Amino acid sequence: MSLNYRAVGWNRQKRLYDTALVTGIVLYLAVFIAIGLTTHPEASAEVLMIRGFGSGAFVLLHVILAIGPACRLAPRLLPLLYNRRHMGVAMFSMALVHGALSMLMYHTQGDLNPIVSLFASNTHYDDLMRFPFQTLGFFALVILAFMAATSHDFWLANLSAPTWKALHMLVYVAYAALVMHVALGALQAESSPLLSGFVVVGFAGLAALHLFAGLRETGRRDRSLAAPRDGFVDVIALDELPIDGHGHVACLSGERVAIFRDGDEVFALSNACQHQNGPLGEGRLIGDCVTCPWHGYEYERTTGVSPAPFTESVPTFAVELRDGRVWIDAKPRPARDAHHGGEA
Amino acid sequence: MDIEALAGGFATTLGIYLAIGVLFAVPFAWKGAAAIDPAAREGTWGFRVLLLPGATLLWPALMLRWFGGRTTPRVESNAHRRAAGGER
Ligand code: HEM
Ligand code: FES
Repeated sequence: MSLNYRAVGWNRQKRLYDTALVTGIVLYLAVFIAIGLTTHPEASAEVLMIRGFGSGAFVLLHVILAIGPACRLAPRLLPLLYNRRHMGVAMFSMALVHGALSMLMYHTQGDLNPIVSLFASNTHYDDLMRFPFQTLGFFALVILAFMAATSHDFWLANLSAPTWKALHMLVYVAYAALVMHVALGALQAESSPLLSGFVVVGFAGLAALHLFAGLRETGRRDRSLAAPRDGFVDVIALDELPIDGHGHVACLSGERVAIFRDGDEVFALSNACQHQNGPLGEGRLIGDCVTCPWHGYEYERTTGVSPAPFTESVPTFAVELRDGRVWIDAKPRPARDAHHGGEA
Repeated sequence: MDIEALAGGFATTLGIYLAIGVLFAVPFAWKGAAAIDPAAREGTWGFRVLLLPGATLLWPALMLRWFGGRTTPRVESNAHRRAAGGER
């Protein structure tokens, strides 16, 4: 199966999210600058813009970092997760405006190269109170640039998922650098106590959320399936499987397995779609094929092979019904030669 | 240590790296992307423009992929694929 790449895979829901996102950003900037103009009439428009875009990006970064653990705690929020990359690009764009305006304001006046000026105009690298905090913002911006530039699906496929994930985990390094950028900047520029308050509360909130979601996850993993008997594992009662084509997901042999029922037959496939690791268990069994919820790739339910002319495949599992319970072979079958199907 | 000299060296390196990146990004978006991933062959114009920043930043890795001759992205391995064996 193959889909040609487009710039943005918009659908109605994504359009809605993006409209809300852009509206939120514009409102934030308008309110920030309006309040700034009234409370700090002496502040220049440039400074207000720098602060507005910088703080807006920082707030949005908190939202982005909260979405992951929040979705693990409340799966209802999952649609936010699917829209997170657009939020990331919006956040980077705001940070870029903030960084570029700061460079223009503070580092293009002399005859030094602006980058040299950024790193060398304040050399108190050994003094926390006078530390050149702008350099921390620069490093964070570089990381965010790599992430935003590689957010398209093309990069996920071609950098390979592990590399892509590692690159995007650097967001936590960027976040750490930004906490210091903002905290040290606030210390040095006697800016509003609101900002320092937000840094502390934001950091504590994110840490708590990640910790809580992590603990819940570990708790769940411990409730593992019973030990295998002649290679098969008791996974679920047949009656508990949905009969309307929806799937059930269980964890077996180190990965998730998507389990589907059609009458008295049960089929088990490795959960990760070959296309982009879409969750097959959240897809549907339609006719002889399981359809991925993300982009609609199909896998034949017994062999795990995409119908010709396509060549994708996922591993499958032998299934046996014993006394009304579904037993699944712990050893996956190679996708391409699994031709005797789920004899249920 | 002379911070200004160090920063000057960094600025020059960065400039050269990005300049090569820009020169590389255009042919990559035009031809290279399709050469390493068939799904990019009929990619839209908007998609090609979106490739430019990433290609500018990642040109060394992409150059290796493009001239290395592999014409499809690798299938990602996972615990099930490894346990099943027999993958091509
Ligand atoms: C080249 C990169 C950067 C430079 C040169 C830079 C420069 C500055 C400067 C000069 C200030 C003080 C502004 C003032 O108090 O008037 C500042 C504050 C700030 N920066 Fe950055 N920054 C950079 C990157 C970033 C990034 C990537 C983010 C976040 C996503 C960020 C978030 C902030 C925030 C939240 C503040 C505090 C704003 C406020 O005072 O209300 N900065 N930055
Ligand atoms: S179809 Fe794209 S991830 Fe499954």
